[in-house]
Amino acid sequence: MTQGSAIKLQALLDTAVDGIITIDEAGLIQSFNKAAERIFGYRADEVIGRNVNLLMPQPYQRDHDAYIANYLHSGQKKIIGIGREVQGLRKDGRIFPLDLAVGEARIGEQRLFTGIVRDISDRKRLEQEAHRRLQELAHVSRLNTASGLAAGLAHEVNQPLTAIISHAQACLRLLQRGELDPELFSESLQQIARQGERASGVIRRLRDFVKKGESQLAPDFLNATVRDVVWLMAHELKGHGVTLELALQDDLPRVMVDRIQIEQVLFNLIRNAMDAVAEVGAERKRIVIATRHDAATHTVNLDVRDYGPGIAEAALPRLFEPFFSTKREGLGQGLSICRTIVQAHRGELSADNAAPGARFTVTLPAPPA
Amino acid sequence: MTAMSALSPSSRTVAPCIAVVDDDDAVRAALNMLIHSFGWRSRSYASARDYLEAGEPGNCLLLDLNMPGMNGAELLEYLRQRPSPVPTLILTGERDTPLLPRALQAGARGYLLKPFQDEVLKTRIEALLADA
Repeated sequence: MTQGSAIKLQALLDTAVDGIITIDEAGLIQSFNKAAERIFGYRADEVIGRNVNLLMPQPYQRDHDAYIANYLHSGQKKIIGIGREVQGLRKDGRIFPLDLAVGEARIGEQRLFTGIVRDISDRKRLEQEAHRRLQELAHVSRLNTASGLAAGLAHEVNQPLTAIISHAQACLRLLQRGELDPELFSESLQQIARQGERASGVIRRLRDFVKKGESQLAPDFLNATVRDVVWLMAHELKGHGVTLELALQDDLPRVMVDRIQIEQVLFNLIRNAMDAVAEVGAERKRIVIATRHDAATHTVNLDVRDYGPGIAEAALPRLFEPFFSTKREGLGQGLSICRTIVQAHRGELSADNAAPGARFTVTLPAPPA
Repeated sequence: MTAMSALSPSSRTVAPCIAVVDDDDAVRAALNMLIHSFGWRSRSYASARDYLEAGEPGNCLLLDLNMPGMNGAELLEYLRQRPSPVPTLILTGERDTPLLPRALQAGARGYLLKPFQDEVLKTRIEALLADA
C-alpha cells in the first residue's frame, strides 16, 4: 500500500461510527481509528504496536494470546466471522460491554484481524432500566392483587376456624350437661383435626406463594401456575357468581418464565374476564382457561376466554395501549402491563372475539424438545 | 308460622328447627353440632336452591352469603316476596362484602362474623325465634 492510499484508508476508517482496530498475528495493534479512541480512551499512538489484550479485562487479557495461537495452529474459529458481546477495558480502568465482530484478511504473506467494536453501555443501561421498570410495575400490580386476595384468604382460614371453634364449644357444652354421646364426640374431634389440617394447608400454600418473592427466570410448568392463581382467586370468583373451567393440556413442555410476572398476567386477565361477565346472565358467567402446546411453532399457548359481550371492534386495536380503557373506572394499565410482561418473555399477548365473549391468548416460546 | 305459634304450648314440646344454608360442608356440620348442643334441631343445606326445593323454611335461618349459584342476598331477595319470610341471621366471614348491605336491605335481622362465640350465636338465635 502506498503512503497516500494508507492515509486515505485511515481517513475513511476515522469517519466510521464504530471502533475499528486491526491487529497482526502476534496480537499487536496495527491501526486504531477515531471511534476506537473515543470508546477506549486511548490515543492511537498510545496503543499502536502494543498487544491488543490491553483493551480487555481479565481473564480475556491473560488468555488472548493463547486464543490467537490456538486459532493459527488449529484453524478453529471461536469469534472470527461471528459477532459477540464481550467486555472492554478503558484506559481509565472502567470495564464496559461491547459488541465485537472480528474479520480476517490476508495481505500478501501477512494475516491481519480486524475487530469492529461498538460500545453498548447505553443500550445495556436502557435494557436494565426497562427490566427494572417492569419489575416495579409487576410489584405494584402484585400489591394490588395481594390486597384483593387478602379477603379471599382470610375466608379460606376463617371457614375451618369457625368449624373447629364451633365443634369444641358444642362438645364442652354437651360435656358439662353430661349429654355428650361418645360417637358424636369422636366425630367432632375428627372434624376438629381435619379442619386444623385444612387451615394449615391454606397457610402453607400462602407461604409458598410469598416465598417466590425473588423475581427470576426459571423453567416452569404453566399448568401449575394456572392452578395456583385459580386457587387464590376461587373465593373472589365465587363471590361474583362466576364459574371457571380449566381445559389444560397434559404434558406441556416447560417454559422459561418469571413465575411472579406470569401470575400477574393471569390475575389481570382473569379479573378482566370477571368484569366482562359482570353484566350478563348467570348462565354466561363463565370463564374457560385453556393451555396447549403448538409443536409447529414451538410455543405454549394459554387462552383466557369469557362469555361476556365481547370487545367492540373499534376498541380491539387500542386494547393494549397504556391508559386505554373500556371500563368506567379503568385506569387502562392492566392489559398494557400484561403485554409488556409477556413481550419481555419473548412472547405475545393478543385478543380476539370468540362470539360469544372475548379471548385473550398468551403465546410463550417453548424450548425445543 | 305466625308470631304466636312459636310461643304456643304445642311448639314448646317439639324443639324449634334451625335451618342452615352454607356451601362449606365443615361449617354446616359444625353448626349442626352447635345447634344440637343448644338443644334445638337443625336442617342444613349446601345451597340456596336445595333450601328452596326442600320447602321447609325452619323456625329461623342461618345463612351464608358467598355461595355459588344463588348467593345469600339473592335468596333473601327471593324470600321477601313471600307472605311471612323466615327470620334470618347472616353468618359471614367478611364484613366488607357488598352482599352484606344487600342482604340487610332484603330483610336479614343482622349478621355475625365467622368465627363467632357460641353464646352470642345462641342469644341471636333466641331473638330470631322470639320473632318468628
